[in-house]
Amino acid sequence: MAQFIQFTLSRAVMAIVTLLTVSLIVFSLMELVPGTCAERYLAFKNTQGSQITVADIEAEKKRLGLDRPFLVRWASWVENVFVRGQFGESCILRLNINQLLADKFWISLGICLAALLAAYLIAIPVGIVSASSKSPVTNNVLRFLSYLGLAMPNFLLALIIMLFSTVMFGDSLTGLFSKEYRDAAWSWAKFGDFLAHAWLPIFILGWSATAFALQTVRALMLDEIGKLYVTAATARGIFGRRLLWRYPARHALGPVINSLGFDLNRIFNELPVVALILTLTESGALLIESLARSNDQQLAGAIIFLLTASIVFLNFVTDIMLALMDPRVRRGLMG
Amino acid sequence: MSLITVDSLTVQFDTDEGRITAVEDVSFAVAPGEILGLVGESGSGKSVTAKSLMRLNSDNARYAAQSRVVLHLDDRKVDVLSLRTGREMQIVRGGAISMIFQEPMASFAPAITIGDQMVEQLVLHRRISEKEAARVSIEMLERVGISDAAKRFGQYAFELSGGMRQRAMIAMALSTRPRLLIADEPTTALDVTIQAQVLDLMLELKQKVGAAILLITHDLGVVAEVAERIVVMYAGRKVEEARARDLFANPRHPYTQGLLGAVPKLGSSLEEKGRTRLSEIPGMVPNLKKPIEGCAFASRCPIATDLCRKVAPAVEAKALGHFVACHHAPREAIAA
Ligand SMILES: Nc1ncnc2c1ncn2[C@@H]1O[C@H](COP(=O)(O)OP(=O)(O)O)[C@@H](O)[C@H]1O
Ligand SMILES: [Mg+2]
Repeated sequence: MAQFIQFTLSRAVMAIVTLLTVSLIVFSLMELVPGTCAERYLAFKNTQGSQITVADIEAEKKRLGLDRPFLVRWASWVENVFVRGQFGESCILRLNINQLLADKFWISLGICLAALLAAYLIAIPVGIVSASSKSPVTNNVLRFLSYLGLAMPNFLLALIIMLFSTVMFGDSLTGLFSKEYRDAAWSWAKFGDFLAHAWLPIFILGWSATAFALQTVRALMLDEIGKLYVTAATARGIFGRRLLWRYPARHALGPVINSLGFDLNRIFNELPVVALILTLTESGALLIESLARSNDQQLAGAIIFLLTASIVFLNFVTDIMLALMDPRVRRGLMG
Repeated sequence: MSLITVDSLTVQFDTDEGRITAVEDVSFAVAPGEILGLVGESGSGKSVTAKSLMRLNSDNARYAAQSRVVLHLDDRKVDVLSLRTGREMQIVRGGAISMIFQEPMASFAPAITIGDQMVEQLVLHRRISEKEAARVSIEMLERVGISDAAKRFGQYAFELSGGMRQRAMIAMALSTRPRLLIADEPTTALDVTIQAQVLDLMLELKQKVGAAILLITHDLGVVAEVAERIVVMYAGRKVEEARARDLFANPRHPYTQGLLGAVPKLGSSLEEKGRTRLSEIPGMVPNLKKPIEGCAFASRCPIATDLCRKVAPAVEAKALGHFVACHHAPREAIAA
């Protein structure tokens, strides 16, 4: 047990080190964007008609602490993020990033996790059963569906559904909230309204995620089914569902869990496009906006960091799950 | 009366590259309590033959219509190849027959304890409670000489040493008191000292449990040590069968003669025999994807004639209890 705690702690330390490394990379990228936050803001003001002098810029730099050396600024950014959970102010919008992102980050994370969860809830049983199925019909139908899932780009699927819905029901299904709830405080009614809208992005993101997960689960299962211990169990008279679930399925689950983090990563990658098409104003679209339109490095950095942190956290969780499930890992830890 | 009879067994596999004939027209029988050695080069069809006794070949296997495998139990006969459901097959899978494999590590499920796997099997076949099954399992582990059996019972295969895993596998196989133990190259993966220990253990337990053993190996040294009778296979066919003594003293098939020529004399240490492999006859094993015309060994045989290349020799008794599939093997007058 003590060793398990030690393992958890060491994994946590590793996760934090990873996050620090990520923060350094993100912070360096933010620095690489030509011009500082002060210059960019004032240049932006300039286009709005204000008169800006060099002295103004210097004063603004001082105010933002941009005159300090790189490492000091990184350290204070890290301190703010890790200790206080504050991402500071956005360069252009001049708003607190935490407030700007608050709901949006959690909503997009929720949508992605829901897509991931749905994908695996479908892929695990279907993949396990199909890998052991001898029916050519089942296998071909599944193969066709998963090729469709892999081959059809998400944006195309989104457009098809929107078009279909617009023609049939006169509702384009865009957005995440109805008008009346858009700026309302959270309530059960608003949550219900959210769910009524969120199923579509979840479905679209989950579509290809399911196809991927299904392939992973099937491949891992076929791998396990071919192993000698399954033949040996068969030779001992174990058969049917008991054989399937207790032997290959049970043993394929470890590597399946391992693939979770990788798949979340892919869903994140697909989020911005889907969000753009469905005009969801959550972080994926916001990220593109902040990068492309306004060059807002503080905001972009915060978003990239949050997305990466989610993946690092999920990997941390799956590592622990794996250790709990696989005796080879567990015994190695607990002696 | 035989315990199990194999009659005209022919097994083919449907593969992407066509149909492979892995075993062709093989017949033999195992008597109760007997140790029968099944010998042949790698790929000669030993494992496929053995698995047929438990209907354990993969789904692409086709058993020819005339093939028969019959298990003779005290109260009934079981036509093995006509068993269909998983429940029906339990009689040959872990019931009357147990099998141990070459790689004990790979034979245990990695994430289930040794004990759980033993108990599962016992409850399935002996209709005893889990508690009783656990007691029997630990006792069985003790009997195969595993120290600290109660602790090993709760461990996983990866936590045991190679020799101990092999013992645990034997314990598991014999715990259901099978009438036949199939041991498919049980010592190949082990070093010679442990090989000897494992063979001794199998012999000792066989005495106690009263099981017959079908001992598969490509190592003549191993069968020389323990088998009472030996079946030699080549390219999926049975080429010779005789009592071990007769086979070693007077091999009648050119293939067996070639094998024995490459083997140290009987009575040399097991260690020397352990190193003997069956691959020292010049030439190549025929391709099983095409039907073999004539004698399968003809292309490597020093005394092959045109007859051998055209007509496959039938297995015939050439001396008392000594069967050979060779046109040129001398026949002795068989006394009644
Ligand atoms: N499931 C299978 N599918 C196709 N071919 C197989 C299968 N199992 C065995 N074979 C073929 O049957 C032949 C005999 O194999 P096997 O009985 O394993 O030989 P061995 O004497 O070494 O145990 C080999 O040529 C092998 O490739
Ligand atoms: Mg084999």
